[in-house]
Amino acid sequence: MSTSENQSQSDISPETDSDAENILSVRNLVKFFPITSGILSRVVGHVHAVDDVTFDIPRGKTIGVVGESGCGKTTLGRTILRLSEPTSGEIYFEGENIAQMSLRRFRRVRREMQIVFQDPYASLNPRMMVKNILREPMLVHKTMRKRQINNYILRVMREVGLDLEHLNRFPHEFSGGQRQRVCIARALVLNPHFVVLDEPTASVDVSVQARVLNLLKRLQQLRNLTYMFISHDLSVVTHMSDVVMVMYLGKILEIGPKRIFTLKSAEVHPYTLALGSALPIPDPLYEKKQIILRGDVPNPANPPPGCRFHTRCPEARQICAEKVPELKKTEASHYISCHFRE
Amino acid sequence: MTEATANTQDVILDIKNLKVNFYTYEGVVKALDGIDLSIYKGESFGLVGETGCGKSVTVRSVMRLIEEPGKIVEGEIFYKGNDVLKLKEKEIRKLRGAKMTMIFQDPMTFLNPVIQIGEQVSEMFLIHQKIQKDILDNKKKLSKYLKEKVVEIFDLVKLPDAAELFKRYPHELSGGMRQRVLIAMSIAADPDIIIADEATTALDVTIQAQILNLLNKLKKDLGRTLIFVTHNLGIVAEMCDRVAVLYGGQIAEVAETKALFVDPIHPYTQGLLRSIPLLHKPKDLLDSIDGVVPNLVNPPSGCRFHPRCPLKEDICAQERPKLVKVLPEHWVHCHVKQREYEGKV
Repeated sequence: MSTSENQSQSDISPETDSDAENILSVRNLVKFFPITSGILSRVVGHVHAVDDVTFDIPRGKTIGVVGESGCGKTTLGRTILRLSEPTSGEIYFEGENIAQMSLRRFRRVRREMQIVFQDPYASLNPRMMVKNILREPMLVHKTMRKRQINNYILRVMREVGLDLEHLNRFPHEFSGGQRQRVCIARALVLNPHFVVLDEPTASVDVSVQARVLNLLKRLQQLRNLTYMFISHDLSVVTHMSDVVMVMYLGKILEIGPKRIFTLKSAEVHPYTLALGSALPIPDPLYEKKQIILRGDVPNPANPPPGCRFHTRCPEARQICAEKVPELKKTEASHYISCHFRE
Repeated sequence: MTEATANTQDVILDIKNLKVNFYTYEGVVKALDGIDLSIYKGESFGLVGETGCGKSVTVRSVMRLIEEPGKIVEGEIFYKGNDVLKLKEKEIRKLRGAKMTMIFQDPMTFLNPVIQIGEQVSEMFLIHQKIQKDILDNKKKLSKYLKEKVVEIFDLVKLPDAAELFKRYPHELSGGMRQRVLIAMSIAADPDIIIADEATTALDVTIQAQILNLLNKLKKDLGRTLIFVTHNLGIVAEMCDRVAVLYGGQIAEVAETKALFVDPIHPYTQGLLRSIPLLHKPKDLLDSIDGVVPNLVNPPSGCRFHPRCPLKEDICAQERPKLVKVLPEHWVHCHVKQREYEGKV
């Protein structure tokens, strides 16, 4: 175990370490949601959900995206899959810019990229049996002859730990963990290369969570999958990811190795540090520095100027309110967006 | 920790053999199956477990908030020597909100959306505190008095611009501020016991840290007894002196926090602790507990954990273990472990 640990920490390359092949490259991606008001639905402002975001995801790795509610992590995942259309920017998936691609052409690409949603009950049609839920994507995308489909479905079911008898059941007949397995199976039947996991264990208990996380890791090895793992749970993200990306109000504040939440204060973004210290650790022997941030996350419709975090930052100075810091490389595969971290 | 041991004799809340059933269409849900718990004065006590383990039902029974189709079928709950379950509705209302209060998970559901915050908090003083007659009779004096009181308590829970906040409505506040208002209401009447039922579950980590910090400070300053109901083992580790782990309506283990996390004895506690990813101790794969949480309409016989237990023996399915003290301040509900630890107390 420890060897793979060390390896994954040493050769992670979130950005442009050109020898590693990137399955996905996002450049200056922006997603604004208009705020309308009045009977004419006049646009009175924009929610800056994802604001000028640039990063790479190396093939076969897991990039974890963390942040508090409203930071844009879910929107980022959905925009990459074009489940909501990007406002501007480029998304290169396996070398092709998919951001401006026609939907017709994009459909072919889409089967390579899938998503597992947070609430498995809401994302499964209650009137469809599991076998139909799993069959539908293959019929839509015509990836396989009809005769072969059933055999293949059985294989995927086995992979995610479901039994033959589950095929003829409806979603309500499953427990939360099993339902999430159905969602995972549905995402896998098209043989995707890239899967967005949007809080896949937020709605299940810890003992079930452990099994789902183990399953996801096993499937990743088996199928050489690349994951984008979105969660607000820092310990789950740390457990799952090779690279961790911290978001705040639509901006990336830091991209770094998985252990960023336990690094020393001078080595990470002040927000990352505060997040790590705010998380209650289930170990009474573990001592940590307590940093309590002031106030709430500002409204993303009216984000503060300069560094988005300066209103709550314990280290903020004048420049932070005036100038937006760039995402700068501080050491190999570690990027921080802060005026006072070089 | 030392505080709790010092207070050992001073039991403020004593729950004995509490059984609660819910009568539903699918059958009788045996939600609590004989809970025994003593909570010491001035400690912070954690009740942890997964969904459906009965942690919320336990504290709601204490507050007598179990509603149809639920029913407390057996047991006693002693608060300062009186059995809460035998009190008349009129008498329990004098305890509820005044002596024992509760902070819930979703503050929006428990705040009235069409009444100003200040007015809602004032109500706590009007109902639960004796106000001098001359103030009570004079409307102007009364509203001034109440406003002073509310502003004072808002300051205590670190709500900014207390005076201005008085006239706000719940929807104008952020989640963290709403939770502070709820905390303000719960401490307004100066209660002995404050129960936080998943009070920070809906909040972001940085806001959760603020609220936990506040609760900790209130506990220290006011010296009240705090009961945390949560599924988050991290919160328990950081906030509580002692913990009870619940499983399927039974108590699996009760211990001081450090002992429980460092040397868990019950197989369920061991499994639970191994299945959570730790930020500071990364590992490749997590351990997990086989099987699923039991359906409490047809709970397993004997120890309810036995179908999933790695140490299972024949007796576990036949006979329900007692909650036995195996070490000082450490109780375990398990046949196998009790035998192993016999004579060590």
